[in-house]
Amino acid sequence: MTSTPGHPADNSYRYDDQIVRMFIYACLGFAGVAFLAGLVAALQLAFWPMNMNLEWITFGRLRPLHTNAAIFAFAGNAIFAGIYHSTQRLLKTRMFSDTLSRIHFWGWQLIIVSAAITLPLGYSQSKEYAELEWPIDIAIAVIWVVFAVNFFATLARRRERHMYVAIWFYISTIITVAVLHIFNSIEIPVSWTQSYPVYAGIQDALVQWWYGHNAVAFVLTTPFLGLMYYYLPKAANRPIYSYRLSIIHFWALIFIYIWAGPHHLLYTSLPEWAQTLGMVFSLMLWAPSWGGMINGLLTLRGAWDLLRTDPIIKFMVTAITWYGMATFEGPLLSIKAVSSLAHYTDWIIGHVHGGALGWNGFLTFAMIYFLVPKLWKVPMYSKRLMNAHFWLGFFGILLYYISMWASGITQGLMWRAVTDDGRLLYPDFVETVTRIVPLYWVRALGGALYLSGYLIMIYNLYRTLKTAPKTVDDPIPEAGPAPVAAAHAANERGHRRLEGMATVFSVLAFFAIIVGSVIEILPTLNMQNYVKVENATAPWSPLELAGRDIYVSEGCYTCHSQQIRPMVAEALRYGPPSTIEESMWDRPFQWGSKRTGPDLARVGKKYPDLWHFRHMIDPRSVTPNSIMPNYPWLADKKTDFLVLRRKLSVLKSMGVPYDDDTVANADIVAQKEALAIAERLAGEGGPANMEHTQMVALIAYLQALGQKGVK
Amino acid sequence: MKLSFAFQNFSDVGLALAGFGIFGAVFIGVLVWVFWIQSERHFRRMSELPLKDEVEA
Repeated sequence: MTSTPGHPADNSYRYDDQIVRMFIYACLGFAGVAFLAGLVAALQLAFWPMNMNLEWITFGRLRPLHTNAAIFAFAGNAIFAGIYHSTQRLLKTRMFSDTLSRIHFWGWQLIIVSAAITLPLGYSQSKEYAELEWPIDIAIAVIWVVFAVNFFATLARRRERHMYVAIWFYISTIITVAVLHIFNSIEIPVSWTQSYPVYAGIQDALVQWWYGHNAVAFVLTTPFLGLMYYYLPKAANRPIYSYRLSIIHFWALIFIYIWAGPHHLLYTSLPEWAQTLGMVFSLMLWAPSWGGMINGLLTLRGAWDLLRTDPIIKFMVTAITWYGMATFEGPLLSIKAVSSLAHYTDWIIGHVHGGALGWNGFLTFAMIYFLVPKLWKVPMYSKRLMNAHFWLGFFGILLYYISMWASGITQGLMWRAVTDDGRLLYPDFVETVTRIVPLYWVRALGGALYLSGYLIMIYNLYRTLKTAPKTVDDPIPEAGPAPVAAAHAANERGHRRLEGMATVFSVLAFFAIIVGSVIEILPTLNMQNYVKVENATAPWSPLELAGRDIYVSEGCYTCHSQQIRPMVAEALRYGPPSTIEESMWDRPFQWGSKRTGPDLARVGKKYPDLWHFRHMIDPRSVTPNSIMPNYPWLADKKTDFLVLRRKLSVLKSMGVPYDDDTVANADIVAQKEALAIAERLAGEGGPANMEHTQMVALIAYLQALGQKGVK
Repeated sequence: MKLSFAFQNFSDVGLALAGFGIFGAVFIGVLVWVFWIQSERHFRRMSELPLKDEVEA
């Protein structure tokens, strides 16, 4: 046997806890960024001047930064810390390679920093939680593979034959995130900073929400369930309530979760069968989710007194309770009738934050409070500060959640309110916005409380670590048996044997998630089944495409949908329901998921060009009380006409019906279009000589929305 | 093989039903598996793994 660092030739070994400490530091640092960005974004919605007329921090650019920081930087680093710590102990071996662990750590932090730079600069694909551009997508895939190799190689050299339930959740996370990320990120580059997805329209929508929903499932749920199954028994010093239930929980959850994506697309132009399938599987999620929650809570049977005395248990129990609430509310919101009210409203924002702040946040805090004294060999500085953190965070979540619930239901009801004579009761969209602004202040207060709790935690940890020993050696567990590798106990059977077969187990987990993916997505990739040839629309003109890319870059989709649902109130407000054909060339699709502002699917020709110009410069000049940011830079920044040839060429290669002349002369065609709009703008009383500006390109796109005739 | 060929004899409803069928089979399979084993001793040992993993030399 050869000897490697941490793996001496005999059967003694050391855990690599330094990598755990590094991930904890990163998690704590990026948590501040995520929470602060979230608070600023919340304030921007309550008080629009908080956008500060700075393009880099307008809501449309800050919101993706906030979500990416929360999911991949805060939660991501927390997951890695927990996985590296618990995996070594559950498998009774050091991680396979310290080098791979460090590459994973530094690579991940580099990706986060890249995101923090590129998103404010407007380099975005606009696909929620997958906004990062293609070079970073490739980096994510590479680093994830490094993590996977390190993890599975560790599995292969484990000393504990059987894999505890937490390990299964980690396996499913690693496999599924890889599948999701790779398939959702298949895109053709136009430049180093831009690409177009290979999927278009409903294909892109379905693939994106298959990814988006399962980013929640396999980044914010399954790994955290693994952490729950490991750290809750340790903190409570008692085994999990039912190991049998955990097995059923695992297989049912990973099989069902992957199907639920289409519930984000109810009442859209996605084929009805896919919507129904998504809704039914979402409802089925109630059972395994609550099975897991009950399993967690019942673990504390006979030890509920710890809830009074132990802040870690307090955080954990509250986290599990929020998991239960979020996983009750998720399927509820997937029921089509409920979705018709809640979709596009703040209710969804409240739901997401109940899970993120309550489940992910509190479980992470509990894990860190549990780990720090063990990893740094020093007791926590102050239990009172831990309790203060808990209560500030707890009331912060409550304020956030309740205000968004009230705001969302208010919005939904106001949007659909129709008078007896069949007219909208609130025809001006901005009425429905000003009504909920006070609730946006309450939400911001909730966020501020949560952030305050976090700052108390940082202070507490700072004082704790100040007294910690300067160096802490990696712990040496008592000598264990030799690595079990591929050895199987021939007399074992059933799941017991399966737990000893990491490869077979991983393949089965892969099949569990791939069945739903294949059945839901493959049929829609054959889009000809759904598009009526006689209704096929013309693609975007070169200038409209340039404007569309600016729309994507500015993150307009974060507040405006482009999907009119087949409902009376929506038809009255926006026009006929959206069709599959209207977005059949859209790369990326822009259906959106939130209406802080009105739907724009048919905004074209509704207002004159000058109205759009004024609206971008100062929205309140044409819509009093609007909370939209100003976009004055659009009147100064130049449109890149020359790149349009390449853009059209890439789109044509993916089947968009541009003729060769248009591709070859895309810049010239676009400049002619721009000149016509600029002249019209000047004629309406606007400024002259605007043809080279991004403003004109954006106006071209907005005026084309819903106006694409039959080809 | 073109996708259209692969799915031409397979309606969307058929796909959905196939999904439910596969899930039903997997779920029942897991239930049977878990309760067929009936090894309380193994489950107890597994559930206690996190409590016994930090014994240091």
